[in-house]
Amino acid sequence: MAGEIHGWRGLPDGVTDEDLSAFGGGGPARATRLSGMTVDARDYTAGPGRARAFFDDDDHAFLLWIDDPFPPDQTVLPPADLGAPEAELVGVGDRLSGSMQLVWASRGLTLFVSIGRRAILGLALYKPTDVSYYRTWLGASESTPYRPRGRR
Amino acid sequence: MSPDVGPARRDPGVEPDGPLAVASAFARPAGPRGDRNAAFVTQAHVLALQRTAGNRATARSLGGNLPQPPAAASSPSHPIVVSRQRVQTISGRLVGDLDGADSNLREDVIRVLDNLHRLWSINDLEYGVEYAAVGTRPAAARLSPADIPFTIAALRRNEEATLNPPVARAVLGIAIGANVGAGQPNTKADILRLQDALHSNWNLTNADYAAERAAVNAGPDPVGAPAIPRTIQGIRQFKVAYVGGTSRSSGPMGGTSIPTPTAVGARDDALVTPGTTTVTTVVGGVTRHVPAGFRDVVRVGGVNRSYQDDLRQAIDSVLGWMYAQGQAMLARPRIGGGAAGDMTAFEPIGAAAKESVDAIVGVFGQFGPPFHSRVNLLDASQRPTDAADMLRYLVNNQRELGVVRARHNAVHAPGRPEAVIAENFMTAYLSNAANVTRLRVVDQAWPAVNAGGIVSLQPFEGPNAAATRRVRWDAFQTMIHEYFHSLNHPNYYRYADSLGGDDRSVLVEGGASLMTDYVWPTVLARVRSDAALRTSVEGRPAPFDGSAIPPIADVHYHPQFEQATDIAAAFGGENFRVAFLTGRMELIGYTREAPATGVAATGTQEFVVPPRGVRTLADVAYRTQTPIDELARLNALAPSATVTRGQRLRVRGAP
Repeated sequence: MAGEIHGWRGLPDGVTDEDLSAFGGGGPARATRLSGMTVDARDYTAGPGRARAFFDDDDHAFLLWIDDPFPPDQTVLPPADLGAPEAELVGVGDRLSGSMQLVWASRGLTLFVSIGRRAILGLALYKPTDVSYYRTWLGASESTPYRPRGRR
Repeated sequence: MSPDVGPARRDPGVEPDGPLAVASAFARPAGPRGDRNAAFVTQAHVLALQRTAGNRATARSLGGNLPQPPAAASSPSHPIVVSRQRVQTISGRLVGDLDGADSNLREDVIRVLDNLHRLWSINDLEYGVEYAAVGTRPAAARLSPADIPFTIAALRRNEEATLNPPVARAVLGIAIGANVGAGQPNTKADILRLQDALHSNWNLTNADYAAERAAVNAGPDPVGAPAIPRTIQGIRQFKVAYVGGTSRSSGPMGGTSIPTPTAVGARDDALVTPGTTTVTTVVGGVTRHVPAGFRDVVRVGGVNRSYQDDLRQAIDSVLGWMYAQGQAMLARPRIGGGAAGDMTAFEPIGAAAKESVDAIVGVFGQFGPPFHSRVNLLDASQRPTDAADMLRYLVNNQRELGVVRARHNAVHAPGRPEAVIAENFMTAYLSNAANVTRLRVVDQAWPAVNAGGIVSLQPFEGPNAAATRRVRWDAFQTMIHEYFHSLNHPNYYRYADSLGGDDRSVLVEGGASLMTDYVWPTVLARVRSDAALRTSVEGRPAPFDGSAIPPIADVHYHPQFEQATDIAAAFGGENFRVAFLTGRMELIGYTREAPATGVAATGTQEFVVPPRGVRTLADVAYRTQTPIDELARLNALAPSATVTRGQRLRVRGAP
C-alpha cells in the first residue's frame, strides 16, 4: 500500500458501498458525526487494519479512513516522492492517539503519522480539495474515541 | 422532547373561552382588533373530520369556510409592512416558507404553532387543524411549506405590531386597558407600561426607550403613532421573538447576560490544560511558557529508571489488572440474554436517558435521535480489536501512564526525543505475541467506547446482582453524556473545531460533561420518584437504591469537565447552556459578527458548504446561527437560494 500512496490523485466520483465492500464489511449505514455533521458511515476491514467510509446525500463515499494499515511491529514512513505536505496539523485532532496529520489536500490525501518517527498510522482519502476544506469538513479535528472508566 | 399531540397547551387567561372550547373566526384571524366570531362548528367536529377524512375533504365539507392565508391588506390605520412568512427559532432552524434539510422540523412547527396561538396570531380552528395534521407526522419529520399553510399565514399575521390586553397580560406580564400598537387606542398609561416591558425584554434599546418615553410624557393622551415608532417596532420584534422562542420574557434567553472582559480572561485561563509543566522565560519583554525539559532517567522507588523502562513497567501493570478483569467479564452472561451484537435490552435505557434529558433542555429546541441496537448502540465486545491503537491510547491517555509522563517531563510533541522513545517502546512491545493478545482482550473488554454519536457498551452482567444493576446505571449515564453530543449545536462545533486541540476538547467534551452534570440532579430526583423510569433502566421494578447508581463524575471527561465548569462560572451557567445548545457563542465571549462590507471573510466568518446535509441558505442559517435575512444580504442571494457543496459564504462568526 505504501508504494501506491505516491500515485494517489484523489477519491474518484461515485464510489459506492458495493465498490468498497471488496475490502470486506460494509452493509447498512450508521448515522455518525463528522466535523459536526450527521453523516452515514460504513465500516470495512483493510488488511491488518480497519476502514470507515463516509457517504454524501447521494450515498457516494466522500471520505475514507484507513487506520493501522500495516502490521503493528512494522514502521512505514511516508514516501519521499510525495514532496512536502501542504499542511502539518499538530494538536488539531488526535483521532489516532499520538498522531499528527500530514496533509496533501490537492491530492486528496492525509497521512496520520506518529509524532516521534512519523510512521504511518492511518490514511484519509478524499476528493482533491484545499487544506481549509479538509480542516473544516473532513474530520481533521476529530478526537480519540472516548473510553470512559478505564480504571481498576 | 416531542410535544404531545393533542390538546393545546395555553396560558390560562389568554383564551377567555378556554382550551379546545369552540372553533370560531373562520373568516378572520383572531387578533387584537377582532373578537372571536360566534361558533358554528365545534373544533372537536373539525378535528374528528380532519382525522378521518383529511384536510382536503374537511375543507370541502366546510364549504370553503376553512380559512385561507389572508392577502396583504392596507388601510390608513393598518399600514402595509413587509411581512415575513418565516421565523427563525432559537436553534436557528426556520419554520415557514423556506425549504431546507433542517427547515420545518415537526417539533419546531408544533412549538411555533403553540406560541402563535398564545399570541392570538392563529385562531382556534386553524390551530387545531394544523396542530393535528402536524402531530400525526413522525418524530423529527421535516415538513414542506405546503404542509403548513395556516402556520405560514399566521406568521405573516404575527408581524402586525399590535397587542390586546389579555395577550399583553399573559405573555408580557403587563396590565393595559385597551389595545396598543399600530392603529390602536394607545392610551398614555398603556404605552408607558408597554415601553417598560419592551425595554426590560430588550425589544427597545436604552436610547429609543429614553427618547420615546420622553415624547410620551410630553405629548397628548392618547399617544400618536408618530411619537413612538420604535415602540411600535418593538411590539413586532417581541412577537417574532416570542414565537421563535428567543424572547427574554420566557425561555432560556431570559437567564443570559452580556459577557464581561473579565469573564473572557477567565475563560482563556480555564482553557490552559492543568498540570502542564512549563518553564517561563522573558525575552525582550515577551513572556513565553514552554514545556520543561525531558528527563530520561529518574529515581523511582529508590532506583534509576529510564523512560522506556518506566513505560514498560506501567503498561505491564495496567494490562495485568485490565486483562484479568476483561477475561472475567467476557465469560459472564449477557444482560437480556441476547445474541452477540444484540443490544435490544439496552434500548429502554437509552430511551430513558433521552427522555430524561429532553424533559429538561427541550426548551432549547435541539433534538437528538433515539438509541437503537446495531444503529447507534453497539455491543462493545464485538468491535474489531486493534492492539496498536489500544497501546497508543494507554500510553497517551491512561491515568497511570500520565504519572509516568509527568515524572519524566515527557511531552509527546514533534521534535521531542521522548516521543521517539515512546514509539520505539511501542513497536518493541507489539512485537511480542503475548502482549498483542492481552491488548486485544483489553480492547475487546473496554467498558464503553463512544465516537461520533455511536455508543458501544459491554452487554455483560456484573459478577453479582448489585454489580449488574450498576452496569445498567452506568449505561444510563453514559448515554446521557453521549446524547448531549447529539444536542450540541453545529455552530458551537464550528467554533470549537476552528480552535482545535485542547480548546476543542474542553468545549466539546468538557461541555457535554458539564451539561450531563447540570441535568443530573434533576434526573436523579426523578429516578427517586419515578418507578417507571427505574424499571426502564433496571429491566424490572426495583425500589430506589442510591448505592446502585455510580457517581455522575465517572462519565465526565477530566480535566475538561473542570475547565468547562470554570468557563460556565465566568459567564454564568445559562450563558454556557445557551451557547452549547443554540450556538450563540458570544455568550461565552467569542466574537459572532458579520464580516465588514468589502472585507474578505476569514475565520468562522466564512462558511464552506459541506459534503452533506446542507442544500439551502436556510440550512446555512441554522448551522451558523446567522439570521436568514442577514445571510441573504451578506451573500447577495435570495433567502430561498439553494447552495452547492464547496460554495463559500459570508456568515456571522469571528474573523
